[in-house]
Amino acid sequence: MSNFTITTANINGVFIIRPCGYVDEHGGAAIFATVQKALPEGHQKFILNLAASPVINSQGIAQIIELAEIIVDEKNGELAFTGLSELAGGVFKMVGLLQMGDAYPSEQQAVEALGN
Amino acid sequence: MDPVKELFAELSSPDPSIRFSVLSRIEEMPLTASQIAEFRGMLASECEPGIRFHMQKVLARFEPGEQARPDRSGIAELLQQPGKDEISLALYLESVKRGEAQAVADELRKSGWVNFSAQLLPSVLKFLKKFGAAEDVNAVAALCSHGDPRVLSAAIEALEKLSPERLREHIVPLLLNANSGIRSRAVRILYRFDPSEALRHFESMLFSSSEEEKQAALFHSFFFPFKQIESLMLRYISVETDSELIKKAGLVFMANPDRQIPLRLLEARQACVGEKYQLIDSILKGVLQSLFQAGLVNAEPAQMLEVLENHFREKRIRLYIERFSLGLKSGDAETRLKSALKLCELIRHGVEEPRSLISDFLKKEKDEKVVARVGQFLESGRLEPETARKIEPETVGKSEPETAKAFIDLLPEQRQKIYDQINRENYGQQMAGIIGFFARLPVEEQIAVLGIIERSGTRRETELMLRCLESDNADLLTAAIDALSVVNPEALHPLLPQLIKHRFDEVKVAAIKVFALFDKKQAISLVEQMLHSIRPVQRRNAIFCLAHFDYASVSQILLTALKNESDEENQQQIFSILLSNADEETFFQVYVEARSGRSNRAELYARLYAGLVAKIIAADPAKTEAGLFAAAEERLEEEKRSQNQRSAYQLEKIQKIRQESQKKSEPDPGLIRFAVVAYAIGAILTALIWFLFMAPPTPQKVAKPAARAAGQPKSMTKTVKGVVSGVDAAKRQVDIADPAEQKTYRVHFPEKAGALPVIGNAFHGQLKVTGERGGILIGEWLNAF
Repeated sequence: MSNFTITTANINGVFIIRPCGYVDEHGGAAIFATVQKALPEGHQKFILNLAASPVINSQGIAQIIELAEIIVDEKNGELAFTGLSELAGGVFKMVGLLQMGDAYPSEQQAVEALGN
Repeated sequence: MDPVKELFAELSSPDPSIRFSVLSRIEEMPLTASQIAEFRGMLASECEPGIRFHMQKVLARFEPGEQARPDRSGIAELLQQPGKDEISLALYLESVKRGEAQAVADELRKSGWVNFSAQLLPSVLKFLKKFGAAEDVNAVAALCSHGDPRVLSAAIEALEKLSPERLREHIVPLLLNANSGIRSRAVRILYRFDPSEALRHFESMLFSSSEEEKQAALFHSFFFPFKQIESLMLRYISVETDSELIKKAGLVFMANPDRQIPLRLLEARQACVGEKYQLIDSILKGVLQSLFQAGLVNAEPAQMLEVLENHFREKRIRLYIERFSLGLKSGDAETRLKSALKLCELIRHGVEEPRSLISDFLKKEKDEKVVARVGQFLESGRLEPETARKIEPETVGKSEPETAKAFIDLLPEQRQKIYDQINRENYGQQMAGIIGFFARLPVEEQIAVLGIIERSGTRRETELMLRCLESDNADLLTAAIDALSVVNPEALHPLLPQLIKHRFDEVKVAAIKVFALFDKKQAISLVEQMLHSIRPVQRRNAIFCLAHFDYASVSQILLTALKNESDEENQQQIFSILLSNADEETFFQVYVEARSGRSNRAELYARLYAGLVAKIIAADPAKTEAGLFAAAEERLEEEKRSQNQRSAYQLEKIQKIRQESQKKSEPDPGLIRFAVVAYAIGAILTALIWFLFMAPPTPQKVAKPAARAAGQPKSMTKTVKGVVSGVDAAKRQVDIADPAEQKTYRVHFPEKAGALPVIGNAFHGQLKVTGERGGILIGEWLNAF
């Protein structure tokens, strides 16, 4: 099992999640838990920065879809992605995650877009 | 380009599904006053009611009164109005906060929401998905058989959230739905209740002849555990010819890096040529990259690839040795001789493993002629005994022109020495002196020369190899096919249909192996036909041929062949292929076969699964015998359970009902697609399911490849059976009408295709479809059967 860590930040009211490592079932669950913890604190805008997680497997994707559903659909919040590798970008597009949140070239651009 | 302008441009598309998918992107965008005015103009010209409804919803967000939407009491009033304002209602339901949701739900129930219009229902269902309760379940479940796919999809989603168990009762109608998106969604739902049957349905969609169905299956492939679909996906990319679909499938592999997959992908790659080779090569490299990036391996992708390529070569050699070492035990002297010679050939090329086998064989062989010929070949590379004359030592070392001039006059042993010395470095020089005399060489030497060409040759020798295909000697023909398949497979391609029908089995097998590079599906089906032969030798050749395909493509065929095979040597041959490719899926299937009580060959299967377990553990020390058997036992139990439950949704039954209903009414695929996307966005997941595999790509902020023009078919190889309906001799263009598929092809016949057919001629052959013009598919002739 590879090492997987998550750091978070709060910039201009946008909650940023920065996973590091392979997002498999375990990694996906950790991201999901991070969001679940942030929602009751009143966060509505989320950025998932995947720059240090270039590989996300099917189970990881399933977790991200579920959390996107909660943020966007149930909580009427906003979600953005950044740091997508070519592979992750292709997968996100294929499974429709980019319909639920936009992808930005940099975290700063994502913060600016969501902060407005 | 301005992203809004780009989206607006797509809103002018004649394809309603494109217009519809664009709306989902525009919905959340802030628009300027001039953009709103432009959008309003587009609404005026939009005729499709579903799209109009969604456009009105978008516009309503920018209306001056938008901020003053009705409060809860206002909504109660609105709900009771006979001609209610559906746009306001839809917008309101999307904006309800949790605190007031319960009261709004009560109002909806009082108003009999199930009778709302199909346009409004998805918004209500989306609301109930979020805030519904147990009392809504029956009403939501009733909509799971709604005729409108968007309502149906929203209802499934809502029910999935409110009472997933209730979905079980809708499985059969959903699997029978005319829409492939709904069907593939149903397969995912079925997976919760009956994984093995769901995977059978998934497999049937993945290998369907409908592109739409394959697209849907590929989309849903991300939602199955990868381990469960790994073998299916490998087989899929091995036989799929559509490059876009292969790329999509490739994403699934790359996103799910597994240490066992690269070798399988390498095998699949080696079984391809041209564009498909490149595509699978990219997937293979992508998986290696993912393995490295995910921290699952420490080796760099390039290093791993080198190791895999060596491993692949070794495995091929091992299979070759196993195949012919079985032949050494044959009761037929000719078979023993041929097998021994094949192994000797390997030894002469520096592979030492078969040496002890041959040595043991020579000690036990009772036929003196066989012993003498094998001994002679091993020693000199020649079948006939040495002549009395000794090789003059100075001949071999002579300068090239002198050697070349004298080549045909040299003794056979001397020529053999020269053949043995040819390698990639001196190939050009040495062959220059040989080619001119090729026709005068004895057949066995011609075969040796073809072997050299196969190893080190170039396309310059194509003519020579093609001439050999006119021979009546099976060994020479096989050698020529093998050499051409390596040096210039394209030159061999047009001749394959004839060679596949050849009277010699060896030639047939060699031709099928090459044919597989171009059309694997057909090649496999040819081998399957050979497996039904009553002659064990022909079945043996077919099995040998299967060993040359990538395992993923043929594993099921091998397992089926094992069920029917009565010849012991053939059984051993299948055993050796299965063991060489030991993987968990094969082990599970063999285990279930052995233990389910349905086979009368349980003992044979038990021997096989024991061997498979040993191989799997040897290849992956992280696996344990106990773990593998526990998983296999679970699989067996699941199979037994499913056997008792699968009466209604069994794949075969569903297929039969669908075939019957299709006979009654053939829906227009364009309409199905339109129906899927012709209504406004509802629940986000509904959008996911509908848009992603059906709608064209929408602009993203991430880099994307250049999009194809809408409606333009991808380049793909197609086997067509039809009648020539038009000929333009000047352009060498032939129109072929395919009555079965109700399609017309306009095909360019290159010069190499020979004389053009005439109107009314039957055509059966392969085309490369490159585009479409005015409803006619445009293509290139590849070959005719």
